[in-house]
Amino acid sequence: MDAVAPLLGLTLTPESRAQTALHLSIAAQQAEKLFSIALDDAEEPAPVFTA
Amino acid sequence: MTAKLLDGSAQAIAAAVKTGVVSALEIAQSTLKRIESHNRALGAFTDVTAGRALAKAAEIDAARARGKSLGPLAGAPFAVKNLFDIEGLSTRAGSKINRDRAPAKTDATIVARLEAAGGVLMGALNMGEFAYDFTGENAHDGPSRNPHDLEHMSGGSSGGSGAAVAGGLVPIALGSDTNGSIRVPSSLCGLFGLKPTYGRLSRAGAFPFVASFDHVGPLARSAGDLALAYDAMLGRDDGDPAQADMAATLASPTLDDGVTGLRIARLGGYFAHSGEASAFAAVDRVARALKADRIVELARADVARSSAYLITMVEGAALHLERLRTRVGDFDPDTRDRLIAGAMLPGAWAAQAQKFRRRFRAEALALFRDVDILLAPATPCRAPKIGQRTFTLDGREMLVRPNLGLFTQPLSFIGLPVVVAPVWTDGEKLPIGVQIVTAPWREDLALRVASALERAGVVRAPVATLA
Repeated sequence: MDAVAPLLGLTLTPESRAQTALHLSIAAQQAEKLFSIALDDAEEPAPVFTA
Repeated sequence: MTAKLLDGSAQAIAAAVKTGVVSALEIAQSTLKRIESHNRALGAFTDVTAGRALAKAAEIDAARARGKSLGPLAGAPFAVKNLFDIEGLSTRAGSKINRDRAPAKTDATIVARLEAAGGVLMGALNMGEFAYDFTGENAHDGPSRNPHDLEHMSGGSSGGSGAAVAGGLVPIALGSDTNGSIRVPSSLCGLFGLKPTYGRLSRAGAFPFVASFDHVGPLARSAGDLALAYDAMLGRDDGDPAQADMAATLASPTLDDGVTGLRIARLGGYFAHSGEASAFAAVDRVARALKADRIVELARADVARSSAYLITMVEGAALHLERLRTRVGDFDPDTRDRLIAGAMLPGAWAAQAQKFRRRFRAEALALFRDVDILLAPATPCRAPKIGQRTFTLDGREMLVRPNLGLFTQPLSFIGLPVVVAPVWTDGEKLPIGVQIVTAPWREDLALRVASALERAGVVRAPVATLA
C-alpha cells in the first residue's frame, strides 16, 4: 500500500488505511479463487475490440 | 379516487387519464402532495421537479382536449435514480463531488423515452454513492429507507427507486444495475425489477460505474408496469456504444401467455448456499407454483462472482482515480476505501477475470439449450437494519455492503436478463425476492413468468402503509 499509493498520486489517511487493507485482502481472496481455474493461453477476454 | 389510482398501477393511471376519469394534472398534483408528506421519512427523492411535472401534465391534458392520441404511460408519474441526466440538474450519482458538475443539458435517453410515452417525471432519487453499494445508505443525503419497515435498509444502490415505488410515491422508477443494484432493492422493498440483457437499453446520459457491467432498467409494483416501461424504453441509440444491434422485442403483447411449454429449473450449487432459510423458501414457493422440480448447476458461479468483484474494483477505481487524487475528503468513506483498494490491484487480475467471463458465458449459454428459465434467490436475506455492518451466512461473518449482492453478481457478470419477483410470507413484515433468469434477449419470457406468478397470487408488490 505504502509503495503503490504515491505511484497513483493517492494519500492514505490513518482512517482509510485499515479499511483499504481490508478491501485488498478481500480482493486477494477473490483473485485466489479466480486463479484456481486454468485458462488456456488462447482464450479471449470478454471485451473484444472491433476496428 | 386519486389516492386509489396512485396506489395502483401506471397502466390504470394511464387508462384513467385517457378516458378522462382523472386529469394528468390531478395525478401530478396528488403525487407531489404524497412526496411532500412522506419523503422526509423515506429518503427517496433528492430533487423534486415539480414545475416540470405540472407543465408536462398540463400538456397531456391539453393534447387530450384536442383529441390527440396519448401514449401508453399517459399521465403516469415516474422518477429516476439520480445518476440519470435530467435537463437543468447536476447529475450527482449519489455523491457530493458531482454536485459541482454543470447542469445536464438534456435528459438521459431512457428518461426522454418514458416521457415520450406520456410518463410524467417527478424528480431524481437517492442512491448509494457512485452506485458502489447494496444497502441504500448514503453519507451525504442520508439513507433511503425501506417503506415496509423504516428501520431497515431499502437495498441499493437504487435505494431511492425502491423506496419511492414501494412507498407509493410513484408507480415506476428507473434504476441502474452493475452487480445487482436494481435487483437488491427490488428484493428488499418487495418490488418487481428488471435488469435487461447487457446492451439492451441505452445507457446514454446515465453516469457510469463499471462499463463492462452497467445496465439500466425499471422497478415497479406489477409485471405489467415493468413490461410497459421496458417496451417504452426499447430502441437503438448511438449514444451508448455498448448497445447491441438487436431487434426490439416488445414484452407487453405476450405478457399474459402463461408458462405452458417453458422449461423451468432452479439453480442449485452456489445459489443454494450462503443464504438464510427465507431466501430459499421464497425460491421453493415460486418453483412449486411453476411445477419446476428440476435443479441445474451454473458451474463456477463462485468464480464468476469473484471475477465480477475484481473487475468492478478495477474499473470503478479507474473511473474515479482523478477524484480520489484531488477530492478524497469528499467521498463517502465506505466508497472511498473500496475504490482506493481497487486502484492498487494488479492489472493481471482484471485481465484474467475478463478471460474467465467469456468462458463462463459460454457455459451459461450451453445451459440454456435445455432450459428457458432459471430460478434463484435475489438476496441472501430480508432487509437488514440500517447501519448494520455485518451478517453471518453459513457460519461466516461477512460485510453486508458488498455481500447483499452475492446471488445477483454472477448473473450480471455475463449480462443475463433477470426479473425479480417479490414473495411475502404470512406474519413477516418484510418481503424477499426471487430472480427469474433467461437467456440473453429473452426479457419477454422472464416477464411472462413474473406475470403468471402475479396472476396466481404467488408474488405481489403492495404499497407500504405509511404513517
